[in-house]
Formats: sequence, C-alpha cells, structure tokens
Amino acid sequence: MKKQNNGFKLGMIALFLGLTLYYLFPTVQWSLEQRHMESLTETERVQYETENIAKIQRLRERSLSLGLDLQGGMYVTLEVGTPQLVLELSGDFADDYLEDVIRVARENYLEQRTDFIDEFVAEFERRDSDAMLSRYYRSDSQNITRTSTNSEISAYLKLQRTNAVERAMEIIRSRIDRFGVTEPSILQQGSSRLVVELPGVDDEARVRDLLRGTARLEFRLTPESDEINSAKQAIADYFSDFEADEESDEVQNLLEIFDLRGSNQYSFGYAAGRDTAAVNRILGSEDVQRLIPRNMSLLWGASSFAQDGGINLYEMIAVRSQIELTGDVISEARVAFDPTTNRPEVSMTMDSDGARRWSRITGANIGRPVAIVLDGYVYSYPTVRSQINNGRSSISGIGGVQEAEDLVNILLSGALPAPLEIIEERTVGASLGEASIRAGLYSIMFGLGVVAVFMIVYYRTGGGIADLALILNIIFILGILAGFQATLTLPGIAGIVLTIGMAVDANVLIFDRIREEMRGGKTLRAAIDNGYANAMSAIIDANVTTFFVAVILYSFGVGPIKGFAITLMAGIVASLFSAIVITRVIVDYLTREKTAVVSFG
Amino acid sequence: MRWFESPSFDFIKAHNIAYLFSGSMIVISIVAILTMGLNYGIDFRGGQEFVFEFQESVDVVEIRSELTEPLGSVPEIKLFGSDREILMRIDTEEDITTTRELILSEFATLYPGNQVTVQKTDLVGPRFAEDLRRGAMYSIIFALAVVFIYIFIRFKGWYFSAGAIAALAHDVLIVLGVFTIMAEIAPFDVSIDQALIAAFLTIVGYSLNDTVVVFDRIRENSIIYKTMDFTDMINKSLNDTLSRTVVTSVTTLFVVSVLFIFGGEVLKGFAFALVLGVILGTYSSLFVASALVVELQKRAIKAKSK
Repeated sequence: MKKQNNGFKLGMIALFLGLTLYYLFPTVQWSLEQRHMESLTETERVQYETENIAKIQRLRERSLSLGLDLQGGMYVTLEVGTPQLVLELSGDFADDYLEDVIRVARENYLEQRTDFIDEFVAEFERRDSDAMLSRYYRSDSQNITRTSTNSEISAYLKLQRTNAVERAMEIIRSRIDRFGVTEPSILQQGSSRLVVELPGVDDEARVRDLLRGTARLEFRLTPESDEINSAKQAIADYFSDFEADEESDEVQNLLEIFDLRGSNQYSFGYAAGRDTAAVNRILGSEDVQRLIPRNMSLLWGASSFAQDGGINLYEMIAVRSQIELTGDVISEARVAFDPTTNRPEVSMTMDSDGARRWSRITGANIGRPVAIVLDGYVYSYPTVRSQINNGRSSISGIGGVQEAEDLVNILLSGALPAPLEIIEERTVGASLGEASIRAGLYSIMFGLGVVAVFMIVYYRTGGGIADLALILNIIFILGILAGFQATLTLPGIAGIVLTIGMAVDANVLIFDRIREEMRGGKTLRAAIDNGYANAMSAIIDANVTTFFVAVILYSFGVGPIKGFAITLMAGIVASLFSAIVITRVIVDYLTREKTAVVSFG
Repeated sequence: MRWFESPSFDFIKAHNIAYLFSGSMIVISIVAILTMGLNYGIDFRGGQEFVFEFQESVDVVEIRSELTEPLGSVPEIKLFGSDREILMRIDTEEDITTTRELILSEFATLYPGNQVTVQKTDLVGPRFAEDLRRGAMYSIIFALAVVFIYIFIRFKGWYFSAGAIAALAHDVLIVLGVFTIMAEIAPFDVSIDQALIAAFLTIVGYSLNDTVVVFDRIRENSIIYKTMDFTDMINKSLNDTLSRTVVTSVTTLFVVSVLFIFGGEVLKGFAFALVLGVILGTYSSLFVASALVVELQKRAIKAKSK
C-alpha cells in the first residue's frame, strides 16, 4: 500500500519535473543562441539571423522573457481623450452649449472617477430632462436618427469609444512596427487606456512624439491682408492703454512679449519660444478673442524663423478657421529633399477624391498661400503658382531627416481618431537593467546559500533534504513562469528570494513536529508519519492565506508588481509541492530499512 | 542544533510590556504620519522622476540649489547607491522631454566635462497617480477583509480574526511610521510607492503565516487539553510553536537582509520594509495577536455571562 502511494508521488514528481524542463528548455536554448550570436562579427551575425529567423523567432517567443526593468526599455500608458472624441462625433452640430456640457462632465468624471460618457449623459439630462442628445448626434450606419433616445446615443458613443481605442491600437502598432522595435507589446487596459511596452528603446523623446502624434494634417487658406491688419490694429489699440493688474501677474500686457510686426503680410507677429504659452493664454482670453474675426485662426509656426541672442523666435500665422482638406486624402508619403535648399521635406500624393478637391482649391487660389497645418502648427504656407492636378503636395520646414521619417510613418499609419495622452511613462536604461539582473542573481545565490547552510546546521540530514527540495523549488518557479508566459521582473526576482526564505517554512513545521513526536517517545518511522500528518493543517492554512494576498496583489497591481505577485503565487504552489511531496519521498526512501537513522538535528 | 526545545515562557503575562511597547510605537507612528504626512513617491503623487549617472561624483546640495530656479520648484534629490548617481523627483506638468533637456543643460553648465547619462525616467500623470492610490488602498483593505473572513471560517471565532487583523494593522502602521520618520534621513529612497504596497501585502502574508500557525496549534491543543484554562493553553501553543516561529523568522530575515544588501538600489526601500516587517511580524504574532485573542475571548465570555 505504502509503496504504491510513493509510486504515485514519484510519478507526480517526474511529471512536474518533465513539464518544467520542457517549458524551460527554450529559455536555455535561447541564452545559448544569444551567446553564440554575440561571439559572431556584425556581418556574420546579420547573415546568421536572416538564415535562422524562424528559429530565433520561436525561441524568443517561448523563452522566459525579462521585464523592461531588467532588459531596459520604455513602458507607456496612453489614454484616449474621450471628451474630445464625444465633441468631435457631434461634427457640425457642435455648439457652445454642448462644449459646456462636455467641460462640466469632464470635471465630474475626473472627480468621481466614473465613466465619462455616463457623466456626459447625466449632465446633459440634469440641465434639461427633456433634452434630446439626438440634436447633436447622427449616424446612418449605426441607425442614430432624430428620434434616437438618449440611452441609444449613450450606447452609440460607447461603441464609438471602443472603436476609437481599437483603431488607436492598430495605428500605434503600425507606427511602432515601422519604427522597428523587437517584441513590442500593446494591450488595452480598461475602457480607454492602452499600455505600450517597448523593450530596448533608448530614444524616448522620438517614441513619445510617435505615440501621441495625432497627425492631423490640414490644408487651410489665409485671410486677406486687410483683415489681418485690422485685427492687428484692434489688438494693438486694446493693449496700448492696457495696465497689467498689479495684484495678479496672470494678465500681462501682450505687447511686452509679442511683437506684432510680422515678417510678411500673413505673419501676425512673433514671440520667444518660452513666451508662446503666455501668448496663447492672453490671446485665448475672452476680451481678446472678440477682437479677432471668427473666420480667422492664429497658429504658431512649427519651427523657429529667427534667433535673437540665442533665443529661438516663433512666428504666429493667420489662417482661415475653415479646413479645406484634411490628411485623410493622403495615400502615399515619402521623405524627399528640397532641390534648392537640400532640406528634408515630406512629399505626399493624394487619392483621386483628394486630388480632385486639391485641384479645385489650388485652381481657385492662384497667387495666394495655402497653409499646411499639422497638429495645430503651421509647417509652411507656400503660394500657389498654378493649379495642381496630380494631387501632389509637400510639407517643408521640418527639423531633420529623422523627423521627416517619423512624420511619414505617422501620416501613413493614419490619423488617430482622438488625441492620446501619456498618463504614465517609465523608462529604464539598459545598464541599470543589467545592474538589476546582477543584483537579483547575487541575491538569489546568497539567499539560497545562507538558508541552505542554516538548514543543514539546524536539521542535519533533514535540512539537506529540505535544501534539495528548495533548489527544485526554484527550478519549478521558473518553469511555472515560463509555462504561463509570465515576465520576470526585478520585483519578481525579489519574490523568488523571498520564497527561498519562506519555502523552508513548511519543512520547518514538519521537522519540528517530527522532533516533537520523537521527544514523545515515538519511533523514527512513526514520528515521521505523524509529523507530516499533524503539520499539514498549519501548512495549508498559512499558505492559503498568503496565496489570497498574492492574488489580491496581482489584481490591483500594475507592471512589475504583477510580476512580484506571480512569482509569489508560483512560489507558494511550488514550495507546497516540494516541501510536502518531494521531501516525503526522500525521507521515506532513506527510512525504508527499519533500522535506518535519519537525523533531524 | 536545537533552539527552544521545550520552552515555557509566559507570553501572555508579558503582554502588558508588549502593549506598552506596541502602543507607544503606534502612537509615535500616527503622530509622525499626521504631522509629517505620508511621504508619497511618484506613483501616488504624480510628477517626474529621473535617475542620472555621472562620471564623477557630484554634490546633492549644490544640484538642489542650482536647479531650484530653472525648474520653478525645489526638486527632491537623493544619492542613488553611489555618489555618482542621483535620484531626482520633480512636481511638474511640463512635458518630460522639456524637463529632461532643461536638467541636462543645467548639468552641462554646472559640471562641465562630467558626463551624465539618464538611467531611468518615470512620469506619472496626476490622474493616473490617483488611480494607483485608489488601487493600493483597495488592495490593502481587500486583503485584510479576505484574511478576516478566511480566519473566521477556519478558526470559528471572530476574536481570532480580530486578533490577526489587529496584529497585521499593527505591523503595517509601524512600518509606515518608520518610513515617514526616515523620509529625510534615510540614505536610500523610502518614499511610499507601488513596490512598498507590495511589501506591505507581503508583510501581511508573512505575519499572517506566523499567526495562523499559532492559531492552528491553539485549535489542536484545545481539543487535546479540554480542561486547560484558555490563557494557559494559548501560552502552551505559543511555546510549542516557538522553535518553528524563530527558525522561519531567521531564514526569512536572512533572505530579506540579503535582498537589502545585494538587491540593488531599486529594491532598497522595498527590502527595508520587508526587514522591518519580518521582525515586527514575528514580534506581533508572539506578543500581540494571541494576547488580543485572550483579551477578546475573556470579554466575550464576560459579556455573555452578564
């Protein structure tokens, strides 16, 4: 009977060990492969990689992956701007009232941490319980008409948000693929967030712009110079006898930081780079807005047009508020160089519909400039010399080739349906990651060493058996992590180290119990049987509660902390198995003779 | 080797001293937290954090005073492992690219020729920080609730649950207090961030482990020694399990100390919390949890007999 029982246990051990080795094998293979690849020269390596691409791909996918905190890279959480999306979906129906509802709903949402769309509908109905949202929203494809109820529209808006998040995810993926990152990961989190993990990225600023670049490309006409001049005059008059409020430095005289003399008739004025935010604030104030015609927008130039004592000066350009053509019509884009200045630019081709409209616009505006606006900045405003029929246009005024390449990438992957905001970003340099791996390995080795020695000193043979179980335990944890395709993070390594200390607990409980039973006069065999049996309830209770805590940590934690929770869980499962089953089999084997002596210290 | 083979300490009698000690520690912690405020790290407060590595050693005080004006606020700066590495935390909603360039250009004028690399950057938006804060709070409350319910079901007495929870709250509160008091003086980062919440939950798990093992023995002894006085029986259970409690504490303390010493700068605060937690957890399951169970049980019986 007993033999059979142990046969079952042996079978289980063999099964788990086999599974563990199966899951860990690719990891071992992969690290050998990496070592091999490192020993090659650059050209050999490239050749080797192209020849073995399938194998490398497979190994990389199946091996235990390291978290960004260990291998270095960038972790970004992006949020889709739902308020802007809700506003934009209303299209031409949008008015001040709707904007105000959205503004208040946004504040409530930020305070209450509820769903923005729910807050939006609630705020709309709170103001007038009979009001219909169908006043603002129409969609033929979703069957949203004049008679749609508010709850139908709420569902419609939520669906649109889901679509927007999915579309944003696709666009981000396509941008990252074009940028070239190995093993990027893009996941949705909650209803409106995206988590992007980019291992090995070290040019954060570039990736940041790539991720949130909305690439809203617009072609706009410019106002007549008379209009511009009279608006300038009105502003100059308003500020000429303007006394800044002494009490608050909020309202500053615009003319102190903004020069109304433009470099040409379309330029509204210029300011130093650091003052542009202040200029925006003053120009945005209600009193000043009244001086600017409704069909005129003032936008900053994308790059500085001049320098003054090392300070970059930016020009503000007057354009029409109406958008003639948007970037949707762009079917092809590539980096080109201006033949005269040799500066990089982006050359674009439009689809047939775009080309037809572009031809009409250029035909009707010969001799006048068309502003090319990207994400709210005027890149250039070339004067139309002749009607353009082939749908070609270009963006000049770009900083460098790299920026031009990224712009092409963003244009080709399409415009984001709503602006994305970076709400969390973490980057770790590769060398800090390496230092962390080293620190983690040292901790595991020292921890294991100290505990192992202590166990042998304290429990003699029993301690030695527990140590063996401990080493198997660590291998099991790694196997479980690899099997579940979890990522090993620095807190994860800390979890393993911690498990080393706590895993022996089960054996400590058992061995102490065996000692106690022997003190009570039992034979070694009986003491062992009783020791294992009596310690069991304490072991189970203690581990179940710790497991619960780890599960909670897993469900509330983010990023590396999740890694810690996973290793903790894996550690509990593995240590229960190795401490109860494996040590039992070994102890039974050592005591198979009636006269055998096994020391528990 | 054998420690505490058949000890007969009177733990319950020692509870007056333990109450005094724990009570004053808790009062100090609460006063510290209330007056100094919890030292939230970037995860829970939002802002930007950088780790810079210089080629040659730098002076934290100098950097702090030189960067205050350009940054528009006093940055929090600490050495990060060596005197060539610094950790800098800034409350700003400026674009992180801008902040980073600004700091690097200030460094270039402050320490010409001393090359600097950015090792780590963290940006947490204020709204996201609030989400993380909520998540952390929920996870701690949730963990305590689950523990309460589990112990209640397994040990069939609310005073066991209450004793365990009180011991856990005791441990976490004192660690929080120590972290608050050490905010200014610790030579490593002791701000309260997500990793620390993980440490707290681990402490909860660990301390609970100890407590549950003792409770399990109480359950067992209460069947064997039916006539024994409740207080004596708890004392006996504590003594029975003392060897195990000490041995497990020692091995765990070994590994968390190893983590503190060798685990690298990133894990310093986390490992420090674990070291404190293991010591406190052992202490509280020996002197606080069981003593409270006795107290609560006595009161429950008194209330019933009235």
